[in-house]
Amino acid sequence: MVHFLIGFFDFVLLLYFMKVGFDFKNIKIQILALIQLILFAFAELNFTHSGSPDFIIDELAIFMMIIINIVGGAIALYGIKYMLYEDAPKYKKDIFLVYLWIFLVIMNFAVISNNLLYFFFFFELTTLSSFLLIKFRNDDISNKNAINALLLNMIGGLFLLIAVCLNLFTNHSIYINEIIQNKDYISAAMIFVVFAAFIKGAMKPFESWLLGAMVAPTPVSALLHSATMVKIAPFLVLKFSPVFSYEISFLITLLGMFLFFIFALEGLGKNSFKEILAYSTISLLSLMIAVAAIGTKESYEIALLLIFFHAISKAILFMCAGILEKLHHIKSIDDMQGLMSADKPLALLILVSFATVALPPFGLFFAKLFFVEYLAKLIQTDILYIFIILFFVVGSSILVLLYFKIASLLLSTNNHQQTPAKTPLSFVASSYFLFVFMILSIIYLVTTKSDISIFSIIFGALFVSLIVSLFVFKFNNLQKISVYACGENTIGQIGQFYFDFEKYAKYFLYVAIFLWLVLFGVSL
Amino acid sequence: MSIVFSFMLGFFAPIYGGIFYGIDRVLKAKMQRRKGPPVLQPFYDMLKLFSKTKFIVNAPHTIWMIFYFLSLWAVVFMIFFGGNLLYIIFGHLLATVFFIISGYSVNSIFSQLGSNRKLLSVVAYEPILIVNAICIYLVFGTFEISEILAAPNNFNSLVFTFLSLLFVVPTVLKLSPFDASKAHQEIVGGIEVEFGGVFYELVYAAKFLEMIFVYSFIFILASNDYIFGTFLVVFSFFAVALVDNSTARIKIDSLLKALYMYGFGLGIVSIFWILLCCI
Repeated sequence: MVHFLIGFFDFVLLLYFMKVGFDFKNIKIQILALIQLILFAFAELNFTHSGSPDFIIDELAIFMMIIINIVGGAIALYGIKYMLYEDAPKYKKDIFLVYLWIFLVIMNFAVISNNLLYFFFFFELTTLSSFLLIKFRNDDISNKNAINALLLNMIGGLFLLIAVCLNLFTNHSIYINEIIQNKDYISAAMIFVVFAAFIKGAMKPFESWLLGAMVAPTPVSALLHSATMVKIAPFLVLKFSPVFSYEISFLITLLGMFLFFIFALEGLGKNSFKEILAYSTISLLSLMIAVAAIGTKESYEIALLLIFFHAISKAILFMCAGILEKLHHIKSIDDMQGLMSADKPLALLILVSFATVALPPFGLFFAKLFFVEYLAKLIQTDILYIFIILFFVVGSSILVLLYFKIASLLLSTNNHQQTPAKTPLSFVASSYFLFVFMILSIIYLVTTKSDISIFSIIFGALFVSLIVSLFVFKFNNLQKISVYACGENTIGQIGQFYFDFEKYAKYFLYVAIFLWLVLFGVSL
Repeated sequence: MSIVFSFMLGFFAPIYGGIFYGIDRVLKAKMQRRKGPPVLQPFYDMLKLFSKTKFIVNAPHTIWMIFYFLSLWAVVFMIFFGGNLLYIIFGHLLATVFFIISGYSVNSIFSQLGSNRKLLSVVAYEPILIVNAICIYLVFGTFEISEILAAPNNFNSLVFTFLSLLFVVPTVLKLSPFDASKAHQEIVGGIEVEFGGVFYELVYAAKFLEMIFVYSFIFILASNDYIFGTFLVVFSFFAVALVDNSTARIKIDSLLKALYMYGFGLGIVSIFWILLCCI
């Protein structure tokens, strides 16, 4: 019965995609929908139930569900407040919120699917949510980017279907638990699943859909395009990494790590806040995929840490971006100047969230720390991992640069005097909630790993007392003077550095495509 | 080392670090055939700075800087207690970020320029430090300083690590030719320019701590041979002072290029050297 319903709705969904293709006169979407329909029909006809269950709630699924429901729930609640500021008819706002909640349901099902055909259905449903939510504002650019997102994600869906069909064609199971138990048989089909993950994770050369998705209202960017939906990519790689051969695992890691570095570099050239966040998201997604692909017990744990803390930190940052956009009317980082004096709690929240992505004693930092330690062990047995180290350490430093160059603009008071504004508590409540949740998780992490405890206690204490001092101490008893600035009278304007990525973009793209092709070739 | 001794070393680091700084200044003066200040000059400066009126520009500016000093001090404590190299590197990164933010939080063109440049130089030396920490791990099998100091001397494998670290030392200490982030004649000390009185003394003392931080990396390369370790430190102390005296400042983008090309390059060479030639 369930199977029939899912098959039926999948047909309806593909027909809807076909209709979208006709509506927007996009021949590529029509063709893709048609191919998917044919392949899906083939898969349905050849599919037979084996003994395995269609849904399995294992450790990984529970872990993903915690992220989806806690982080996603907080964002969806934030969406209610955000929509009050949005310029749209009431019924559309309501539909928007309903979409968000339905999306959470879809995600929950996606992570527990054990049958690849079912997983394909939920995968396509996330594509649909992405499409509808990006299209929400219905202007030209939204429509264009929504179509692009639909197109690229449908290619991902197609890869998934190819994998299913190949497995069926060669009489292999399409149940995930059976695939990962059968270590002798490494199917070429698996590489298509990985490619589908790559597209969902917006890896080069398919990153344009996620960057375009930033035109959607901010809760969408927070929920779908950084915290939950794109996490399907590392999730899939994690699921299948036990069956990867050494070559495939290494190549995926290399590609992921290369893109981690490249995307961080590319983000340096941007100045829209949401775009910078998007770049750091795809950069870190590539890192997660890279770590997940190693496929050992240690890398599994590190990948989980990365997924978990990235989801929280990015959710907070995106929610702050939404507040900036709606309350302070700031989109570009250049307009952020003077925010510290205008809205101190919000500016500090952004600053601390930057710290949570890059600095000790926060979760993402620990994940990176464990990864360096693990890499140092790996390289002893395999010198090829030197490339991984190379990209990793440079990429991490560039991410620090990327975040803290924004800090400079937050703090400076040079030209733009912002009007003081107080963010209503109901708007930041979700961010604070997630922040507390993160702190509790870090405390839990520290109690399980004794070797980081002293370090995190020292720096945690320093951090807390720093934040407290910033609010408490005003030094009223000391004499205040204006800046010395060596007697310069002119009011200088400090720019920020940008990296001219376009010059090299072409070569990096070629390298990425080359690595995809090598990966494909090796898997055959 | 007993706990009490480690604690004393850490606790008085901002004080006795001043002697190193004094020696450094005398050494540089002698190289330029000047007489130079007395060795205890940093302490005279300290007394003078303490007696000055306390001026500040704004509270956050001062608070960020105080926490820079405190975090750096914590890092030095971790070094003397034989902590984990990676934690020390990242703790130092956190401290530096506090200092950079302090520089940004004041409306002074030189301070902000200094912060910008400091941020870039961090991006330049941070990867080198991590790669070298990995080299040290490959040789000794541990990141813990206490265990490294107990291991037998294996400096042959770490030659390139040593050379690579020689690029990091002047960058962290803001010495020529890698002193674009401080650049006295150009941006009047960068971040340091807006501090006065006792608060400038903290910035000053932080310099001693930075010295202890970078030279301890060089010291541990000699593992249990402390005499050789001291020799390495003295040698690099001389070399760095000599280079500081005899070279001109390079621009910040050349600094990035130079560090990535030579410092980072040597780090990579070091990994190959250790893995292919030594074990």
